[in-house]
Amino acid sequence: MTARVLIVDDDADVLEAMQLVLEDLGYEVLVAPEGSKALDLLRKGAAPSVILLDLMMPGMNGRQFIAEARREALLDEIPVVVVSGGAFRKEDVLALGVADCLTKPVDLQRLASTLCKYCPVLTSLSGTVRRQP
Amino acid sequence: MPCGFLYARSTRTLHHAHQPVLVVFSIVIAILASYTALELAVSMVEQARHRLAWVAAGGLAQGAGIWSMHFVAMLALTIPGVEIRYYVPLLLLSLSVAIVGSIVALFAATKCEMSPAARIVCGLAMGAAIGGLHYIAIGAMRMPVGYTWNYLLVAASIGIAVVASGAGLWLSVKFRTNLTVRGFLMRAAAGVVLGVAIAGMHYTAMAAMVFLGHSPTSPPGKGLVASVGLAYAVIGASNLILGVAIAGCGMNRALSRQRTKTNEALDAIRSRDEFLSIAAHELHTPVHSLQLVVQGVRSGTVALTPDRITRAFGIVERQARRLTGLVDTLLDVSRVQEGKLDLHVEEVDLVAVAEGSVALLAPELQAAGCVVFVRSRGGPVLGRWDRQRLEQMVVNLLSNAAKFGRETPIDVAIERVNGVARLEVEDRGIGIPPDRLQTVFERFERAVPAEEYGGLGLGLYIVRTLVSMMGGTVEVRSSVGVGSTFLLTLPLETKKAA
Repeated sequence: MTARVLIVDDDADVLEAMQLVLEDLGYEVLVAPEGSKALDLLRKGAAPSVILLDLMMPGMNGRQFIAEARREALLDEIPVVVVSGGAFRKEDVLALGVADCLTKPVDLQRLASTLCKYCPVLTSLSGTVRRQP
Repeated sequence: MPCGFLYARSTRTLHHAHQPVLVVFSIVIAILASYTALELAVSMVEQARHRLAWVAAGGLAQGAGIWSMHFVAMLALTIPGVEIRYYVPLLLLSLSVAIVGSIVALFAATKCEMSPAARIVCGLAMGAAIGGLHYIAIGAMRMPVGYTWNYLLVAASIGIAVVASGAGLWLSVKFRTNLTVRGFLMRAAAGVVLGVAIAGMHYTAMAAMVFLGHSPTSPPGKGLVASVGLAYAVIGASNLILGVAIAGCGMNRALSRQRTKTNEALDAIRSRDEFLSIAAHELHTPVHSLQLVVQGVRSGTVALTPDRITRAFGIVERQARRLTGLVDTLLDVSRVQEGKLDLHVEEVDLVAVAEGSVALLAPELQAAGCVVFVRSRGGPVLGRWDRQRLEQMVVNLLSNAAKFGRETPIDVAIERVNGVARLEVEDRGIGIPPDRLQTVFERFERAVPAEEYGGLGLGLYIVRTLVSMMGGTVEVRSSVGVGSTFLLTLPLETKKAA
């Protein structure tokens, strides 16, 4: 099974930066600039191992995405990790029923270990950031 | 008794008089009661909550005031050698009529939308109540004297009551929202006029009474004996009630002013907190990309191939630029607020500025899928402006156009008409609801929730501030779902704004 991550964020630079490091960590990376594009990917059977979700986005925002994806039973097998900036209370975000919540800026080490938790393929690999020889 | 008044006056009428001091007091009470009624109308308009309680308390005070005026004026009446008594149940009935009539009238006065017909009906009702209270109180008189009426004067007294009530209602609606000193003076003047009218009604009605001399058949009087002492007691009580009502109005107004101030302060705090949260989000985002890439390269996670290194440094460079831009924006706002922003005026072509702004914003425009068409009728549009600040304005407008109109074209039109330069940025984005058109230029304001569209909410505020520094204006037209058009109008020569 491929370790596939879906990143949903409206910021093109964030998408590119996360894609760059996650690809080199060994993940297959899918990106969506807002909730409804992410829904389309899930409906087409993209089946990522984990979704990294921003909350503030134009179009369909993070909360709306979670509600809609749940309604369509698209998230039954997929853990969602919220990665968002700004001042918000972690409890409020966890109350959405998501697996975890990281505040931007996220430390790479932290991001990698969080992904490992929800991505069994990688756990067997290393558990932390892989080092270049 | 077949008694035309002429007959009565010429043969058997009794001499009667009014005690001047009590007459003066009765007029003062009438004025106070009228003024109180007008103040109450103001308070009740301000008081959205507990309005019925206010109407009831106000009606009580106003009714008691008007009734006291009448009763004191009646106590002022003296007929030599005759003891006048008042039958208490009827006195209480007349007091109730006054209070109920006042409550109805005050309730009507608090209704903002009142048709002229409804106003006339209310005036009639209140007039009838005042007439009723007066004649019921007369009915409470017990004395060994007969009397008859001059019906012309009776009709005149009721006419005065109706007209005074109608005028009172009209004045209370007119002045109830004016809280300035002028509003207070107008209410005070209206109170005097109304009070004199109500007193006039009473004394007209009294003049309509023709006393017919001792009537041996009249039963001996029962009830309260009219006396100066009783008059002063009523004066004291009514002044107390009216005083409390006026003080209540004043206190209520002070409290509501306090509440307004508190709410404004709370709004400012909320707006600042919201801004801080958004600013944190805007600053965190580029730092997030920056940190991931730098840590990725440093830890060796990112493969050191030329292609990936180029991508990594591209990201780093863009984030540095974004952070600089954000900090510049924040600094601009603080400079503008302290009046420390300087303009460097030089000869500038507005068309070139527009094209330069498009070039500056190219990566963002490309990411948003927006193509910009810059059109100018008749070539360059030259003027003396601050090039960098002009560019900043156009960039802000373009960046909004791209943010709210992804995947749609943007038109920039520049022209020189009637000695001014005009630059128009037209998008086909989500548009601005009509109720937000006025506020989009305010600091920290946004027409959409920050949950959906990021940004500091400062772009248009900066545009408006800069353009007014150059002596120009910015206007917006928009319709939801169709798009927005922002129009900058600049004088060709920048005059230092005051």
